[in-house]
Amino acid sequence: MKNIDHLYMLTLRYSLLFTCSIVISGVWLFALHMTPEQHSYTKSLESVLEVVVPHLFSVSILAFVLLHFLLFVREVLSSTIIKLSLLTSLLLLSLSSIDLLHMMDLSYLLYLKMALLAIFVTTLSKIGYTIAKSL
Amino acid sequence: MKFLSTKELKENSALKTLIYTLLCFFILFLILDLLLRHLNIGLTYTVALATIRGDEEAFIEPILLESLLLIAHMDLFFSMILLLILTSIQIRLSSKKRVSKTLIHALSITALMAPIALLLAYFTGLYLVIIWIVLFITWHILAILVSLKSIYLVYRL
Repeated sequence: MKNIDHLYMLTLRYSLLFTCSIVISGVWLFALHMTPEQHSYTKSLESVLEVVVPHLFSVSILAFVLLHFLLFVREVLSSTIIKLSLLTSLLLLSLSSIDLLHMMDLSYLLYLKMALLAIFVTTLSKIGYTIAKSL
Repeated sequence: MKFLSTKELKENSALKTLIYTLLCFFILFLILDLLLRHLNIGLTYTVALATIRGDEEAFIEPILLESLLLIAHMDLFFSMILLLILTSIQIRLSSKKRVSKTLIHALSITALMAPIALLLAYFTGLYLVIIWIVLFITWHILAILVSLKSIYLVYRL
């Protein structure tokens, strides 16, 4: 059983690397959209939903699979999993808010997005720290 | 997944059917993903290089960084979810832990490095295109083989 736990932890470590790569590429994509040219017009509801809908599905699936996977590793306490679930929900909400804010035609939209991105990155570092501590 | 750790897998034909179906979908996904990448980027050196860097003689524009980044972003997500489920099935079914460990390392490293190599190929080019093609095909073939092996192991139970 200990061997199996070790293998699950190995998979979990790799999935953390995958998650980091997904976040880096996501933030990079987001940064590409933050050029002044992209902010000169208001996006349509359709284009915003095209981003929000797949993210709501994929982030929730990612959170479910990743956190569910933690149940295998006996060293990780259930309270840690609850904390992680709450943090991931916050992450999901931040992501959706960033995308939905595109709908507002506000001059300070860029600063709002930056603030939300900061929350997003902070939440993610907290998750990474909690998982790293648990492992 | 937690449901895979049940000890009643041998007696539970419904669960076995569920795993068969899941693995069949994985194999189908992996084959079609190979086909899709062959069509939109190209899995041969000359075609992939022309798509990524452009070809003036053939009037081919280089691919946009945004499009490439989106492909890498989605690839990372799909490969992560697939590998999490596939490796958990492999760990649950295989009695050879050393083999499982090697497979997890090989699958995860190739799947993780493939999109990174694709992105780097956009900036540096040439040799990284070959590395991307090799890594991409390797992880797909490995995942197909692991899926087939898992189907066989479930059948043997």
